[in-house]
Amino acid sequence: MKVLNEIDAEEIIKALRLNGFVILDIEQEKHDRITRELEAILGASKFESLHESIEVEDLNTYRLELISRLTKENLYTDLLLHEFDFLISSLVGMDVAIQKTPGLSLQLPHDESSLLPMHSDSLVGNSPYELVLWHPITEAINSSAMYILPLEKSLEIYNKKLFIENSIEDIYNQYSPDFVELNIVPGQLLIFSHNLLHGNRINNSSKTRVSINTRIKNLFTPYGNKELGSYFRKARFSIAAELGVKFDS
Amino acid sequence: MCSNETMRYFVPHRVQNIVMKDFLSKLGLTYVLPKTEIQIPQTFPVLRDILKDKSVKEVFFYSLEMMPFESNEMIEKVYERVRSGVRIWFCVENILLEQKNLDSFIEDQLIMRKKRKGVLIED
Repeated sequence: MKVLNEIDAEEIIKALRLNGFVILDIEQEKHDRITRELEAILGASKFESLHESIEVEDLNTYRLELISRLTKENLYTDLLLHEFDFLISSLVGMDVAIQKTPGLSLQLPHDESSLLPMHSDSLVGNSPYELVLWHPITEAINSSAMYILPLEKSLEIYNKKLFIENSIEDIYNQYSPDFVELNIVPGQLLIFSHNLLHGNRINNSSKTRVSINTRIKNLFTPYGNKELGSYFRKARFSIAAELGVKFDS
Repeated sequence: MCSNETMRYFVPHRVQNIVMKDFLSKLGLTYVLPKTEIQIPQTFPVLRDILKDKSVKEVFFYSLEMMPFESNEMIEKVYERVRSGVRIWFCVENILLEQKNLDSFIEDQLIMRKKRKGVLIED
């Protein structure tokens, strides 16, 4: 798995076309800026030792508190849009919709309740026309990493209609050699199509894993159950679209 | 939870979560993380996993509408687990399906489904 440079938009698109996912290195200065901003938004840092100060029972309340801070005045998504402006336009076009409330995943060491079995977001209601920006706040290595089934193999499962007669576990077991472990550290960004089957395991490391996931799409591609207004917000509007909407009655 | 329409419209996962969390809290239980069935019609890979897991003794469906009534194979698997002692709650309808009321439940559902399809005529 090759890690690309953030500015190589064409290479990033090529990698997404081939595998359905890509990991890129964020420019150092930008990463430092994002980290500073994020610490200010969340009012916390050193998340890898979070398990030393929080119980599993309190995890969801804390997670929701952090999400509420990220969502306040669109602080986090505006930060993403500002810092990755060119990249986002290259990926979805000039008319951009972004998830209003980003997802935040907290996985304490050995916590079984945070296990997310293999799934695809588009199978549970998201539009297939979305991409996920997966932003690691701590390292996600080995058991704390997400796993993903690359494009060709994920498509094979859809095309063979394996969901009809199999359980998720059956399919996972059948394809387990093909899953890729997405080892990623702060300073990198994972972009993936959530049509690909993915999930996580129990974090058997000694550190808490924290990541933020945000969906982006072109404003005018089809929506699933997660619609514009409730789940997505209009983030950028091309002038052609802006003028068009005024006269489109 | 489900990803399809129930009762002719789709209930957002956020709302399904609220309903289930409330339902479980009234039973003195803590709601942690739901299992969400995929949206391909008549396809139940997540339910298959749940039914295969012999350690599961109690299942909470968001709604009765999620039951795989149209699939003989799947509904039989569900009933088989109920016969073996698994209890199933339907949060929206506040119905408990268990071994002792299974026969009555099956009759009720036959009547309700026929009524919905217009086979039964009301006075």
